[in-house]
Amino acid sequence: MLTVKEIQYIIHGCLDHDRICQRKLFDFTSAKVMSTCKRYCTNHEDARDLFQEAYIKIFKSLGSYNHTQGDLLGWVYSITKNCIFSSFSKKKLEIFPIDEISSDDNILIQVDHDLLQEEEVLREIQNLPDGYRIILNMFVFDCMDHAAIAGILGISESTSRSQLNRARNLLKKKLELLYNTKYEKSFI
Amino acid sequence: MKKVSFDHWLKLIIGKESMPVDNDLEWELLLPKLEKKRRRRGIVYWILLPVTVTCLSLMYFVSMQPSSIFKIASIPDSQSMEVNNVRKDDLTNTVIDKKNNQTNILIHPQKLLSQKISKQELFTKATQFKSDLTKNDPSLFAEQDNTADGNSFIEKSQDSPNNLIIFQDSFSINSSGQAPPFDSLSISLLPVSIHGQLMNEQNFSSNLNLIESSKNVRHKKSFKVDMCLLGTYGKLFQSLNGSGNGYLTRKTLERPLDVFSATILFQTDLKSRLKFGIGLDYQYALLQLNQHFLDTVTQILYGVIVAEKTNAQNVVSYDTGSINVRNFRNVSRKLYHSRTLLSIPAIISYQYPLNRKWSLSYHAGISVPVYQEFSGRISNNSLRSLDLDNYGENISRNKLPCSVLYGMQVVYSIRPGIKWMLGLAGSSEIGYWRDLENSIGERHNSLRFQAGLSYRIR
Repeated sequence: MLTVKEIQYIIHGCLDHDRICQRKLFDFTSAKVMSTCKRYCTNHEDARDLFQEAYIKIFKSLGSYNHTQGDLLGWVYSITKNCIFSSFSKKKLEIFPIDEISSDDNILIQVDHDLLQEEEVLREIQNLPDGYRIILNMFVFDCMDHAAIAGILGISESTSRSQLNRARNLLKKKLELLYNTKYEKSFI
Repeated sequence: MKKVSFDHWLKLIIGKESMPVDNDLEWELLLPKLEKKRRRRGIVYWILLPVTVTCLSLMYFVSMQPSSIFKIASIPDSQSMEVNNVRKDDLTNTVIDKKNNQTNILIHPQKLLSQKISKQELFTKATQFKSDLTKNDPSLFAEQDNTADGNSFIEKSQDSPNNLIIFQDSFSINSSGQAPPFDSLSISLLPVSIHGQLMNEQNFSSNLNLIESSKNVRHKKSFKVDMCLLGTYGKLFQSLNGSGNGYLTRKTLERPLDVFSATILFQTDLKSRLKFGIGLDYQYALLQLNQHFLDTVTQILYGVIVAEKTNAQNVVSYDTGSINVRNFRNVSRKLYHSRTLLSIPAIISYQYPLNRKWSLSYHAGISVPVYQEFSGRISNNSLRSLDLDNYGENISRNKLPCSVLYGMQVVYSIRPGIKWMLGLAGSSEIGYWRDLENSIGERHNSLRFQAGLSYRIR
């Protein structure tokens, strides 16, 4: 982890367009930014575009970062999220309402599913339809409630809720299939 | 088997962020899209630049205004070159011969010829001009008949080169020593000059009006002011003075780069070739700091999860874990810092005419600084080049040493009152200005190319 003094030095350098400092910040935060971008995109190329867009925004608005208001990684993450969300409005993403199914936030999974690799799980998330993937990401990883998701995506809360449930079920089904194929073992 | 929440499980798996990112590749791809560092120009630059452009445009616009064929020259004596009583007026393209208390005005008729005006036509027009002047003020040519050659107001010069026409007026100082209606000083206001335009009634009347309006001021001493707009660009030199680690570090790592300045100067005549000028100067000096250091790079080598099926039901997995590897790389980088200075220059210049259009101008003077501002960072009082302080943090903004100014220019007269100049200018600070905290003295000198325009505003 970087100390406050190191962070201040890096920020000062980045504001001076110092490539070394920019690279330091990049190395420090790239894993988080890239994994966030990958979660929201269907392929690596789209993720890379978002990743680059996010860093351009990060370096541009670094002057507004105040270390007393939170850690640098959190700030970078929130900038990345904003960048991703604003890309949705550019793309004019359409999420169609579907029939609401019974909401179940307590879908369980067996612990030995830990054997699935991160990359495999991520690939399955990326293969979800747009609406499912985005809402699942927002709800599960970014801890947003349905009202906030609905506000950002311009949909109703019920649509958000139903899309999330469908996403969960579909993903779970896909993971089960993957696990069974890999280990010849089925869920109980 | 233990069951956990699906959401929680997803977070645990994906939230590990253990997927390797090829930072070098991603950085290479990102780099062209990042903003490059721009050399910062101070706000004064953005004020002076439009002002300069506006002034130049105005000067150009004014100079393009049509002028009359017979124009009352408003050139003071100091602008003329006097040799054996013959005063050659560079700007009005005339030669005034004051021999025998008479004023002969010689005009090079090249421009007239280029306008295809015949000499006969010129003669007619000039006679008309004279007659109009007389009509307006009969006393103007009162003594004309007494002159030896009063009738030849215009004639072809016998002993002059081809195409030279003599305008001979009759403003002579009478024997009683009293000044005629227009005395010798006013003669310089009366000569005609050619600007390649056809003369018409309107031009006559405007000239006459000018004569009328200038009557009241002719006996006063003329006070002329030139406005000069100058831009310079050149090499900056820096000398440091002090002791200790900070001094050594700065001396080794700092390199002065360039300097540019924009100056507005108001000049007035002191003597025939001597001028005094005062104005405002904005100067921007850029310096470079070279840093060399070892940068630590931490590389994460991620492990893999090895899963092994021991029997039909059980799976044993091993995580090989990840390790951090520390590498070092040599890094060289450049940082830039700058100093902005506002000062009041006061200079004396000497003009040495080469011919009708060209002259050399030498200047020397002093510049009194009024305000300075710094930006960027420099090495602080230590041997480590990475430890940086804000440039000019402990330097007084106001107590600054004066600078000596010197230089020379080649001056070209484009039109009466408008000159273009190109040359070299130097400035040298008299003393060191100090950082109060670590007592490192700094002194800047510069040698610059200078270009500009001078316009007579009064």
